[in-house]
Amino acid sequence: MALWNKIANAIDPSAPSADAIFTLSDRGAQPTAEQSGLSRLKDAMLRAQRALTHIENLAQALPEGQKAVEEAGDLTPDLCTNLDRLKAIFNIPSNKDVVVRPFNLMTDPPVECTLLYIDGMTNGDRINLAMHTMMQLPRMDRERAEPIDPETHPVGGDRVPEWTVSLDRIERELMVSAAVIRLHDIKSCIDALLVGDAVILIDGQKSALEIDVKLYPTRSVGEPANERTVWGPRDSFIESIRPNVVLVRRRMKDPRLVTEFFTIGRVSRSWVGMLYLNGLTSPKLVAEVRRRLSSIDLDMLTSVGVLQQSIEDRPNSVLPGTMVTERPDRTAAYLSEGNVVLMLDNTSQALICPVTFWSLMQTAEDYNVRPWTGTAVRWIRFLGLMLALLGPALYIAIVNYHADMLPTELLLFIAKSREKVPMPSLVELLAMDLSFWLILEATARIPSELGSTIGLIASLILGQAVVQAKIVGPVVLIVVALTSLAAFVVPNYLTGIGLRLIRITLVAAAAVLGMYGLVGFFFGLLLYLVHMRTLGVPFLAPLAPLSRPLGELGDMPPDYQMETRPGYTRTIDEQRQPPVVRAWDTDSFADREGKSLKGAERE
Amino acid sequence: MSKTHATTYGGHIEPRAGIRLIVITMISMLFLHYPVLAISWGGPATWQLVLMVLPLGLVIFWLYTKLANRFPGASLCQMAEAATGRLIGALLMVLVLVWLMGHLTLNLRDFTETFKTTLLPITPISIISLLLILCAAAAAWTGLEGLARVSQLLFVPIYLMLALVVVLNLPHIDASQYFPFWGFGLKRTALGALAFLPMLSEITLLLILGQVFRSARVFRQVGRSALIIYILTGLGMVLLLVGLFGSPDAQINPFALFSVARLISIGRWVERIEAVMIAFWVMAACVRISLLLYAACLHLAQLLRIPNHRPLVLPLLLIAEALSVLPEDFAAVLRTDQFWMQTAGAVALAIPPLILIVAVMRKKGGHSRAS
Repeated sequence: MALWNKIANAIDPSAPSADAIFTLSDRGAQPTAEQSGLSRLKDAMLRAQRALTHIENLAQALPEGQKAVEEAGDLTPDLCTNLDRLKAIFNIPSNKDVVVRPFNLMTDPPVECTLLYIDGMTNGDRINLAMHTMMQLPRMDRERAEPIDPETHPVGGDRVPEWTVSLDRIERELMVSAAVIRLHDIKSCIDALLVGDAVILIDGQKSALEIDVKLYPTRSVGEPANERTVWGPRDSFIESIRPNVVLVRRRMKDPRLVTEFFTIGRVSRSWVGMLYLNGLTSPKLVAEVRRRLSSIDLDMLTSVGVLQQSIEDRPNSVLPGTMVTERPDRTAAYLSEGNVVLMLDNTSQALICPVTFWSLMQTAEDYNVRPWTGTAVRWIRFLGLMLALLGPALYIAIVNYHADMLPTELLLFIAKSREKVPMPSLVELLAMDLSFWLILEATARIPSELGSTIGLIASLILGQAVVQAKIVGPVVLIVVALTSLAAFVVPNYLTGIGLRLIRITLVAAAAVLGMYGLVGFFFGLLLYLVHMRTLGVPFLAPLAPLSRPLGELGDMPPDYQMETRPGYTRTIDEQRQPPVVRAWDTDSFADREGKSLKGAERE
Repeated sequence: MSKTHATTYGGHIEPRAGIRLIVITMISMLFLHYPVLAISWGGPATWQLVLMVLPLGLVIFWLYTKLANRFPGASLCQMAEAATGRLIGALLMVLVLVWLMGHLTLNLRDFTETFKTTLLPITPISIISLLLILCAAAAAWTGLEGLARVSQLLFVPIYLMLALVVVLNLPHIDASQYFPFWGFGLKRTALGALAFLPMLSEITLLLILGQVFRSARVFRQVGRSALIIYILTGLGMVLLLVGLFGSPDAQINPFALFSVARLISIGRWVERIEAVMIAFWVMAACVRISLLLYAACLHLAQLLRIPNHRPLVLPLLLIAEALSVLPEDFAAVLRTDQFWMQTAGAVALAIPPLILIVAVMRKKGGHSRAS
């Protein structure tokens, strides 16, 4: 078996072996009550095993834990030694960002201390408050300094401080900051400074104090730039992870909402928050996301796109398996459906994972409008998708290979419009499509003041000049404009770009083999999509493989009728809400029970 | 049972996907010349012929189910080996493989010729064939799960298109074409049904793929439903063809369904939609060729006790492609296909019941209660 796997791998290294594919579920049909129960039991066992492992590790570490922490620490009681090391690491005095503020504790004799922080990342008022309290210190009891053991502290300096103050007392009686942490090693001090906290080094102490004084320059919560809605909330994420988490928490006042933090990136050391609903989200999914995040070893992690590619099963795919969103309401909705959300500090987007293709076709507004309206809009979106994907390829196939499909009048019109056009229809279409891409790219990059000018030039050149000059026919212009417009109906930006790339290949296939080539390539595309999965969820679920509920794909049921969560996320509790949400409506009960209460009342 | 083979496919496919996969595989035959063959045997009463095939097919599949129940979880190779012994079993399975490869080869050429004639008359046949084999190779390489899911997605569009063709042609149907009621006579119709029966030989694929169905119940459900849907679709098609063209004309048109699609004309704007029709036809052909190739690879892998079918995809595909260019022209393809379907198909259809009889006589297997 291993030999054949090696051969298969040699032939196609990109194809994962059956054992290597992580699968959340591939259950196909709706599971029976027995299967569902078994699944929940497995989830419970998994969580219990994790808890037991955690307890076991704690129990093993407990007797020696404190000692180990102290021994691992490389701070010395000599303030100068510690300070010199930090100065060397931060290139002080060349580096003007790090502020070093020496001061004395007003004991008798005074004890030297140094406050360090990075300018601009901290709240000056909070630093002043901490300093004020410590510097106005009344006479304190003196304590003997701890002797320095040269074996355990080889980096220790020549001087052995004689006096110090109780760190416990400073921490408990003097520090007004809400969050004070003891640090035992230089690395922790560096990390603390880099995230915007202040560090206080005290002479005679082998530990330092970290005070939470962070204050980043952030903008206020604004409107989403890419996911606008007519109705609904208008707030969007900003470039700071904490306010972003708060924006979600405001919508989910549920104690089960957990935020785990990871630090990723050797240089960037970016914070990544993993949000999920404990007890609802599949523990297997949470464990897998945690495993993938813990395994990322990047240099710089500064964008959600990079994070997305770092955790997806198929990062080279043109269609994403996770969804980037800037809307807190959408994030909360997906969390409630059992998805895991990742937030990266310094970015204004969250990453919902995993998602299916159908999720990428939905907008936050869908559920704010009436069900029938929402359904109609969703179908128009699917129509736009098909048009954007197949429109140009169909045009090429019909014009070049199946012209007899067209009604005679239309055929004659197209033939007449192309009479003096020197280029073949394929070149015409590709040139126009490329021009449209150029306009898009240009308008996205240039200053907004020039946008209207570029638009005017583009419309004049593309809309009038090329047709009048007989470089391209008007029909091609209409086809390209229509399909480009349809591409914008697809709500997800990455999906829209991916579809454009697929469209080009479909056009090429149609140009070579007409409808036959187009369909053959489309078959290949379907084959690819049904195999695509992210974090164990098939990309085309719940349609392929089939799982319940299906209702949200085409038609959009009202929110009060969506009683179960999507099956593909394998949530622990699949029931979203009770079977009858509108409890005041007797018809709801009657429908549920299959009999009319009103009819009975009449009788 | 002898030593257990390594399973070449670790997963399962759900019943609905299985039904749709088998149905699409079988109804893609209706796009070729097979309905015309049936009409040549049954004449105006071809619908009776098709209806007679249904119970016969169900009886044969019932025997298949008995065999599957007798050897639960085993592949056809394992069943043959366990029932008839290693040598005879291997010989029987080689016969099945030969049938499969012949079927694959002829279908490949048949579809290629059809697409060339109807869609791309000036394109070289090798180029047309290339796309089909590329699709088949990709599908067979990635496995049955993906193919089943693609079938699941394509099933409704294909049937919608078939329904559209039927509905839009209803005004052209002449009911008098169904008379004389008994066609060429009941005896000839019954004989035609027997001759047509090997067209169901593809249900043997169910036994070859048997391990992918979660249980014997799913196996039974998939096979029975697929047979019924296929026969009913075939019934609709022959009724349409006879009603539109009459049995004498329908017998001489190898692209009958294509011609049916060409008849559609509504308001001078919806006309000549055969290219759209062919889009679904091509997809059905891709599914069929892919499944046949996958089944051949899987069957050979089981026969040779190779744990993975993937190394066999390219060799078998090349053999099929090389063999498919042997017939001189389309007429030769049609003749060979008819002969192959009736002889090799009958053999393939008969082998599993034969294995069952031998197993019963030799008291092999016997897990008949396991499901």
